[in-house]
Amino acid sequence: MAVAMVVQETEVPDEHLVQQTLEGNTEAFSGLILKYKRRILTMASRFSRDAHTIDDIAQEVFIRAFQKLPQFRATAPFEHWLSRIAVRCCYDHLRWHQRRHLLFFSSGEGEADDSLDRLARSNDQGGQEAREAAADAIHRALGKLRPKERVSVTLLDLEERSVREVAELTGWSEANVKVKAHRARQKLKKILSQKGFLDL
Amino acid sequence: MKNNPHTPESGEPFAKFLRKNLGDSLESQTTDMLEQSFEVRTMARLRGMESAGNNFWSFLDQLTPKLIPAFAMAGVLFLGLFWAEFGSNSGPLTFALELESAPTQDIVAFLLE
Repeated sequence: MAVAMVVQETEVPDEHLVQQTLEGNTEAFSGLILKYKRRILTMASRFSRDAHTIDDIAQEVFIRAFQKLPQFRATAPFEHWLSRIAVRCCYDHLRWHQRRHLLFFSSGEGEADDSLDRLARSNDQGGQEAREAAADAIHRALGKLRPKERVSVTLLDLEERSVREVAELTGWSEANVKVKAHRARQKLKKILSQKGFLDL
Repeated sequence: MKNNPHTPESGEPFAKFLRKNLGDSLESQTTDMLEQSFEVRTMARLRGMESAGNNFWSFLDQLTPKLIPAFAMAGVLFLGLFWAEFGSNSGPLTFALELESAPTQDIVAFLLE
């Protein structure tokens, strides 16, 4: 905790903290967590709405980073390296979630979807309830995408990253990213139009 | 529905529509909450994993001297059975197979001998 406070105050360079961690000072790693926790939590929150799951994904990112730290080459910034691990963790979570869902549940047809009712109920069109209903419907639609499609569209459209950046973060080809994102958008439009959120 | 601000305007890019509706407001509430002492929780988990790993290796270190004689005895026993089976005309396995296929009255007679 003391290290974390010092890091916050003096902005110790990442390379220094990495070096200290590699030399056995585990506490130095908390400085890196403190610095990047918000970014990682925000990214994780784009792939799940459950607070425990978001917390778990974000913790997993830092644990993987700690375990793989000896492999870190300072050829790229630590932040970029960490983002790659974060994307991989989110993708793994989506795959695990999809497998679990396929194994234990149906295609989601039976799930209660009251977002449209909530939107219709909301008299105040710009109100909180309408906004939440719209977000809810989009989250549900995102949940119906394949993991690769969801990762591609999330990083491109929500995180506003370039195709090249997404390709570097995921390790997929640029063409693959474009195709997956295009398919994801088409699927989202179809689902949202069925729900009445889009006029196609 | 068409008047709803949460449906895309005509010609509005889909990405912009997504960002508008999945803006940071909802996510930041969760993020703000989770950010509280996140590093403490993660470091605790990390230390827990480290100590569990250390405990495993120290447990194995303690166990090794006890395991060596156990493995040696098991090896000797296995070799003994192997020799008994294949080094002689009638080993325990052959005997068991013969016993299984033998008529019941033969087994009873054998036991009564």
